[in-house]
Amino acid sequence: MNEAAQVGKFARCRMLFWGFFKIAALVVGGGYAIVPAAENEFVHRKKLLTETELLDMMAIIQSLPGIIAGNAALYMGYRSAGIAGALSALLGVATPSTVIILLIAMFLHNVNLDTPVIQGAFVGAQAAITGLIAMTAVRMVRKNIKNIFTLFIALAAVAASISGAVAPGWIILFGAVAGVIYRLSVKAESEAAANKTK
Amino acid sequence: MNIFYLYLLFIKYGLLSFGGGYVLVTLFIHDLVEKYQLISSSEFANLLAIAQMTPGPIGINTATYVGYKTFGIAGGIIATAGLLTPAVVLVILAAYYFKRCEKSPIGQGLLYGMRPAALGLIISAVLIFANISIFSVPVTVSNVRCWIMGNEDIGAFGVRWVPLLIAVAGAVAIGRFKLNVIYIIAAAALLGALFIR
Repeated sequence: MNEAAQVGKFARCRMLFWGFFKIAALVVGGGYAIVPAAENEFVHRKKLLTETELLDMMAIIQSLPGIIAGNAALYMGYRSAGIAGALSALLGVATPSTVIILLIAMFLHNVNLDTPVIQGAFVGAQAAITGLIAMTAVRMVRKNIKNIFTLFIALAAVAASISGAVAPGWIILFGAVAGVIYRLSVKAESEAAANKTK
Repeated sequence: MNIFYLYLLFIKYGLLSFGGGYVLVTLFIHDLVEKYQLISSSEFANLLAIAQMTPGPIGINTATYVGYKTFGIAGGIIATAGLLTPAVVLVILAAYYFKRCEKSPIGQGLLYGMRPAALGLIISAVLIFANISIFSVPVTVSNVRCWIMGNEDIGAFGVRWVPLLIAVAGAVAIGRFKLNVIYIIAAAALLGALFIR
């Protein structure tokens, strides 16, 4: 039994709201920034889901429309506390940036935000996220790349993504189809081998 | 244009945003600037700078700003809600059905192939983030081709040392010392504000 299973639904919703509230304030430079942040907060600290479930989540939410951070909040919230959890997490992810942008639009629209100090802060945060995602990726590779098939799919996904020619949804779909074919054919093969030895 | 129509409009963007907020930028220029003229092109350029200079998903930032410009605070909230509405339905449905079939042989097969594909996308995100922080000229397929051909008009390949050190320090802080990601990123932003020019 993990920690999350022992706490009540309301406590889990609160955990999801504040967890995603903190994470949303850190998503600078694109949705993937949430991967190491969500791993740290929800996998290692709160134990709401396992690392493999986090990877499953990234696969599923990228084959659906919607922004990555919002979809991640909804998926993780639903998995750990049902519809109330999904909505709590989504509210957490949407609130900080909505409030920040409203404040800027109301009071600061004439202030030049494009200064070297603010630029530097953003580049610094993005640099740290580069290192954090790299560490997450290394951990996930160790756990999930176990044979030629998984290595091939991962490399093909990297190549397709970097080339910029294939949308993430298609890359995931390709992996899904290949996975089903591989698993079914491996099963058929092992059954054939079992029949031979009889 | 009334506020209900604004909501419907952003529901459409929520449905069309495959693969994150950047897809929305082209759509916003086409629709909000040219077709409906809710916001001028110079204002949109300013907005994009703000969206990138503030934390938060770029899609939410843009929706809030455009909504505010058209209908004030209520507009900002309504546009953001519209953008997120399709995902509420689709992601919850997907999570629900997935929970039911993930143990089946087909479900296991799907996951077996989807996991390494998703991992590949996460690995390529390392390059995406390095391109906007560590490399002085983005390492893309077309730029690499230029470098190989000896065409350096785009600028030579270069590494910015302070961001590189921050990235390494961040990796060590999480990998060895297990520090909280929130503090690591906050510290990196402070270092960046002081030392990155």
